[in-house]
Amino acid sequence: MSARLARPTVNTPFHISLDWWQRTRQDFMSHLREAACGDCQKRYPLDGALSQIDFIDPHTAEVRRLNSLWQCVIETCSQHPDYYSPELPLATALFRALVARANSPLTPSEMQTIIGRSNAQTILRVLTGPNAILGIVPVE
Amino acid sequence: MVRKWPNYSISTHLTTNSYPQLLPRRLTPPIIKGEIIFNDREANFAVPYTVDSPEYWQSFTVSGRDVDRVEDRLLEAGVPQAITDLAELIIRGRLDDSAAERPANDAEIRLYQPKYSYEVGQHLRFSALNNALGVVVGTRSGENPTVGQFDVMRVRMDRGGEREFAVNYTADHPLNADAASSGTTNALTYVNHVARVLAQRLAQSADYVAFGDLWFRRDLLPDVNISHLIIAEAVIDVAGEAQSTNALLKDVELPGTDSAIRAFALNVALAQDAERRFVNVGTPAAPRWALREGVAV
Repeated sequence: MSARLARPTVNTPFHISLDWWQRTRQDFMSHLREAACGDCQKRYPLDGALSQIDFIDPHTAEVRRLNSLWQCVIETCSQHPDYYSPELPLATALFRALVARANSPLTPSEMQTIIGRSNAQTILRVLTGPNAILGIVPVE
Repeated sequence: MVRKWPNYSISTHLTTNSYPQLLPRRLTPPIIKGEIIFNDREANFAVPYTVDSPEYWQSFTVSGRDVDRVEDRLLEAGVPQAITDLAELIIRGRLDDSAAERPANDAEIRLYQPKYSYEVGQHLRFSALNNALGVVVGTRSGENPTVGQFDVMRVRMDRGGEREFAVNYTADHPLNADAASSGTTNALTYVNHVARVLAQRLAQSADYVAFGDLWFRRDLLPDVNISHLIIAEAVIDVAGEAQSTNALLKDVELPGTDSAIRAFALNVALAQDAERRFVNVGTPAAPRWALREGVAV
């Protein structure tokens, strides 16, 4: 098989790199908690312990270890109409889209459909700037 | 020494000389030990396309090997060929090449479906991941009270890294459906796209000539000279109406025994007449030739 190296396009899948968060010593959990709605934040307070569950990707059957707060965001918060509030910064909305999908890779085109604003080219430009934003990088 | 190149648009193949680089050399960094290294972010952008993926065919470009196949077909058949037939020839050729590159133990690579379980050491193909390959390196029990009983296998992927997948997972999941589990795209559904790209490539060479969707080598055609065109013009003029190619060939005597080649040669000559005397008032598949001036069609 021959491999092709190509500049990312609107059809290139992106995901949140947890390695990036570790490498840059930024707090992924605080950003996750910001994406959580009031119900989930109350259910899983800051000082409470979180359990780990195996989340099965509905498309690839890949298993991702998520904590119970993340699962709550997927099952509860992401269903709220203001989860993708138009007042959110675009990068935050993209981060929330990936969180809601348990970090299943999404293309800029798919992200645009999910968040319901901007356009795929602008999203691509945001994600391929000189520095990764919120750990969102192309899938290797 | 590894050299790093600035971030710019490029597309190239890494591993084989069968499919040459696609961009002018000035835009192409050298291949060092089979690798092309971009800056750190660019290096993450490797997207392996295989013949099973839509992206492979959507980004199809004609290679030297493809042209060789076209040449061989034109010479073997000895008559003009439809561009879609040539495109299908190329697609099948690439599928054969890809199959030949697969490891000898390809039959031992199983298709991954979550409803089954797999032993450590089993090689798997992941249809939902663009047919990525991997080998099972471990298993454990799954933990998700809302889903029910299942296990998790850890897989070392051929493209690098390890990932986990559900196994013994009998719940409703698209990958558990046998009819849709192949995950491979039907390459032949892209025949029209490949045909368009191929036609553009052949049109860039004076060696090939087309009429309608038929293509042939120019040097295999009988010569149609000015005398032949004058005769054709006269036949149409006398008839007072458009004439089919076969009708014209009764009077326009071209060398050769194959009627398909003679018809194709005459069609090309009439269509490309420098004085633009002729117009096809029929279809490319069933041309009818009229004079551009003064003859009722």
